Amino acid sequence: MRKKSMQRAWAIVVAVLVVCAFVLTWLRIV
Amino acid sequence: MRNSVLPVIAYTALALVPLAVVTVFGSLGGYADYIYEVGRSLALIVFAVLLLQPVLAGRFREITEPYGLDMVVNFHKYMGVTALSLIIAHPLLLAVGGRGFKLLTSLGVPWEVWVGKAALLLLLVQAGASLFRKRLGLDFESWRRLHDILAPSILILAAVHSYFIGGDLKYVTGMRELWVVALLGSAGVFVYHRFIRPGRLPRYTVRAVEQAARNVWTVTLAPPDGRSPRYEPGQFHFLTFHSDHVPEEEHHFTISSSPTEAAIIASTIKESGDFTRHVGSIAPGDTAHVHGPFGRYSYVFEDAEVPLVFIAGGIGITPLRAMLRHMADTGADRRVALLYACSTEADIVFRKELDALAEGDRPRLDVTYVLSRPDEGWSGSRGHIDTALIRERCAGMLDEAVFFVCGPGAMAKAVLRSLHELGVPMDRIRREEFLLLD
Repeated sequence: MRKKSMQRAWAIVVAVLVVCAFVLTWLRIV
Repeated sequence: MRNSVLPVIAYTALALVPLAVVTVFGSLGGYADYIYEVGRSLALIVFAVLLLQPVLAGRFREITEPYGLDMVVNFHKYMGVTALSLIIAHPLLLAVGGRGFKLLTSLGVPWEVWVGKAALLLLLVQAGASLFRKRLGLDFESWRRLHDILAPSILILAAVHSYFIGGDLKYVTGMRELWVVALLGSAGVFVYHRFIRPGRLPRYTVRAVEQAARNVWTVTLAPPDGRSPRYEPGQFHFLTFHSDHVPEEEHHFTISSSPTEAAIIASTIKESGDFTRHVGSIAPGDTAHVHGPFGRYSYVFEDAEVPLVFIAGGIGITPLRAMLRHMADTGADRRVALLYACSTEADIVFRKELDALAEGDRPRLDVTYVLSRPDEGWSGSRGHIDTALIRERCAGMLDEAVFFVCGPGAMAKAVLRSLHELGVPMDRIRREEFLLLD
């Protein structure tokens, strides 16, 4: 259970980081 | 809930600081290639993630307490692999985004690129050694030494690479200063965790070393100030013994004593690995640095009304013994079923004490020993803890009990399969992920 929660937290963190990489880069270019 | 969500948000925010700073202060204009720039952005994120790795591994109570140290170390591992994946994408995106594949294949690239390639290579070695340590035949101490050398090397190489080649570091005011400060901060955490804190931990004195079963020893330690150590029953700690008989290495052990046992703390240890096979030779008067307690594996974190099922294999009884002792000493009116699997009668740890606890009424304890290789005279259960035995011994508890499972990997896996067959949901099963710290 705790492991599932940790994996969920990790997946969310990675998703946020990658999405931010794309979005913030786009903001810098436009 | 708030306690466990905030650190995750803080972590994500910190990992985004460099990218956020260059986004606010370093406009690229409309001429940049988007793919190329995403490649550079990923590098900024990965550098921040790498800088945060020592913070995750540093066993800071504020970070570990809401989740348990095992989960934080697991997260550290996952983020290491994430950093490796993203940084592999970094040169690929630069190449696709206009820099050309000569960046990857040519020997004639600037020295700063070579430094970056070296950082990537070392990160690859770091991740490989961590994920496949056992398959590579690396013992824990050798792996840890390698990890301690590679981690700062990767950070320094990555910092040098980005400091000298990164456009944002050259042209965005304050970025180079931010790099230096962040690198020093991360290095400071690493140095504190590995070199400064170990020497400042309280030094306990070994009061007794007693045989608890065949090849199993209980090492009882007395704190330097004579006060009762504070911990919850079932937690674990890290011990570094200073003895002529065992190497001066740090290892984690379950605390087998209960906090109700005044002015001592004990760990019951089985002779198994290179380190533990000499544990019986530790002598009263030897000392040990103690770092802890850690962990969330304790009945005190559960609802007071709920019945408990403890399922142990071999030396896995230790945290459960601590909890049962605590229940008895505090007069906890709890219903507990203990299923305890061993090879032979001589391997049952805490036999007398468990039998005595079962005779009392607080806790209302029912003990079942299961032996896989019993002598002929054994009249108890034989074989392994399986679905049928759990169903029989936990009658009337299956729908509400919380299950604490502790034992060797194969046994624990089989028990988890049985619990799944019996319809016990994962959120009622507690397990310490000790393997993650090995």
